[in-house]
Amino acid sequence: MKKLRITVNNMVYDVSVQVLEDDEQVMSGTAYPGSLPVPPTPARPSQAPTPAPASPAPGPSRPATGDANAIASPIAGTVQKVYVEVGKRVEAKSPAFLLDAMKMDTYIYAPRGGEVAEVLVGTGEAVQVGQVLMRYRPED
Amino acid sequence: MQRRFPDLDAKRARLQAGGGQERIDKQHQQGKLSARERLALLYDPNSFIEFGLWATHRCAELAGKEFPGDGVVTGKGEVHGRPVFAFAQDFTVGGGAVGDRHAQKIVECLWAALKMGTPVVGFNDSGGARIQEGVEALSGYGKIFYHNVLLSGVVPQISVIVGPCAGGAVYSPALTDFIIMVDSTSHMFIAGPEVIRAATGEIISEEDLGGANAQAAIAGNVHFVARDEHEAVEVVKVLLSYLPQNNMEGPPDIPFEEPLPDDEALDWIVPEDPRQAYDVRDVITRLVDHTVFLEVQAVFAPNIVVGFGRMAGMVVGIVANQPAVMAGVLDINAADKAARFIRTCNVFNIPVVTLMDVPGFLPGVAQEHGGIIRHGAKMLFTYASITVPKVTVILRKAYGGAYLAMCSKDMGADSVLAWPTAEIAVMGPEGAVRVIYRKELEKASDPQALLQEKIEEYRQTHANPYRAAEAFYLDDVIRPSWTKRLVVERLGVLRGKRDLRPQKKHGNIPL
Repeated sequence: MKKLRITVNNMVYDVSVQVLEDDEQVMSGTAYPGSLPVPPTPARPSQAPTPAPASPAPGPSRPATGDANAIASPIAGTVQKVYVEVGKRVEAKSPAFLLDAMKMDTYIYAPRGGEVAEVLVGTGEAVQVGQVLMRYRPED
Repeated sequence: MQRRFPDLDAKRARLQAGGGQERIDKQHQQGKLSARERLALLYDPNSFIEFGLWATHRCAELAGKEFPGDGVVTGKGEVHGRPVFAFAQDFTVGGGAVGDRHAQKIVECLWAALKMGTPVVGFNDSGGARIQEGVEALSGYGKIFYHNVLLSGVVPQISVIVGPCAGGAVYSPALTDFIIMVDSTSHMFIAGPEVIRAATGEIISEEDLGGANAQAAIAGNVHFVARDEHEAVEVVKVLLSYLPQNNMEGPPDIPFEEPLPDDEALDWIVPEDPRQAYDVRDVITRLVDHTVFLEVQAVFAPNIVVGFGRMAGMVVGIVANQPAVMAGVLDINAADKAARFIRTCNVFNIPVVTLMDVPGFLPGVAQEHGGIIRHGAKMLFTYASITVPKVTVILRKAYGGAYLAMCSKDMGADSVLAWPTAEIAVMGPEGAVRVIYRKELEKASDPQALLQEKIEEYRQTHANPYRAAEAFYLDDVIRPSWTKRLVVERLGVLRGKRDLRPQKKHGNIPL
């Protein structure tokens, strides 16, 4: 243990510092109280030190269809705009449709990138919750 | 140098090795850690004290088989200097299966945590019940569940799923306060893919059925998804940093001496056009200290946002409608998510700050038949019954029953503030005008023009905060840029709040 005196904003703090490497050497040889091994570090790029899980972009819950190649509407509403075209690529997280739902503009974002195989609704059309709006060309 | 008692050293080493290096290597290959490595990640160095290293099974059918620690490591240690009990199931020992001694170790760990008023963290990595032990194994589960319930509301219980957790075993985590799953290495389900295929013919993979993402986004059983076990343990530590040791203590507030200046950006965050959305998390991060917000259940029912933060050092639970998703409506899942979170805050003496911008409950047959009345009632019941300080800020829409469900003054808010953009009314302008002026609109020569005129009139008279403020349903109408300072002031006033309620076993919340 080392004692340190630290001054922050003219306030004096006395702190004790335990240097773990040194103290661990003292401990070695006695596997008591508990014996815990050093876990291996996972191979992943180390970056963000904040551990809180990354929040996703605001978007609807997963499509209710369970079909990974379909985008289903999370809410009932009227289609105001269609941003996707058959045969063209859509990028992940870009808007695919604009719905009028609960008297508000509600964007439906593409959950992943891919080629659009089918667009099943048009402007002005009413859609139900869970209704499939478009399908991706399946990826192999 | 020769040591005395070499036998003891050898025995201890064998028990501490669990199922042996070969099986531990196998765990590593799967991206998993051993039970002891998990506890080492959780605890401050040299703080771990183990209970029951020598305990093992007493099953005649398994006579002669060695199960070090009976497949679970239990004990106590410190997390950032605060005592925390933990158990970690050891998959390398008989697949981490639960027998009666294994269960006894967990139960005694829970009991000790209850007596000391200390949180418990459980690492679940188990193949299920030890079949050879029969009813003894079942009884073991039953005792664990019973004690989970006994501890519930007294000390925080956090479950980390780090492997299989199937069948009845899922109910121990399900009874705890928070569940963290690790992406792709952990699975939870009542009945696995094989059983489902035999019973219903549905074909689905383990991952799609009970993987972390399915459990978090679709089922809503899980609060956090971690990329690996290291991140999962970090989440546990962050979560503990917001929670008190037990229900008799306040949450771990920290000193905060900084001034709370006006935040002009908040004045511009709500769009002029009521049709347009904004991300309410941008409001939240501007209100919490150092923009640090721990969102709980981020991917489930994202039309409502809940989580922990600190305001001027005080731990708060935040509940906010999310206009950027499904217009921020309340539906079955949002109501369940919010009610559960608010009750968690109440149990652990954490004040609740509600940010309201809600267009209403979601209309639809699926919602009605799915029981939105019963589920929505959970929110109303919860807000009215909790006794921690409650401060509500109305950012924009506050319509109908949803206004009450988001903790209006009548539902028990201690303080309600409103931004000038607030619209407090029975329903939105267009809907209201169509009801009030139905006959006039039918007869009108130009119904569209009349509709627009009446909508504007309605906006002026109803869709603003001033009428509600005059009727004293609001404590104040404020510039958004003042929000943090004023909420903090009110939370400060409410610190000594006492909310006396009639004696009863418990209220009868609609479930």
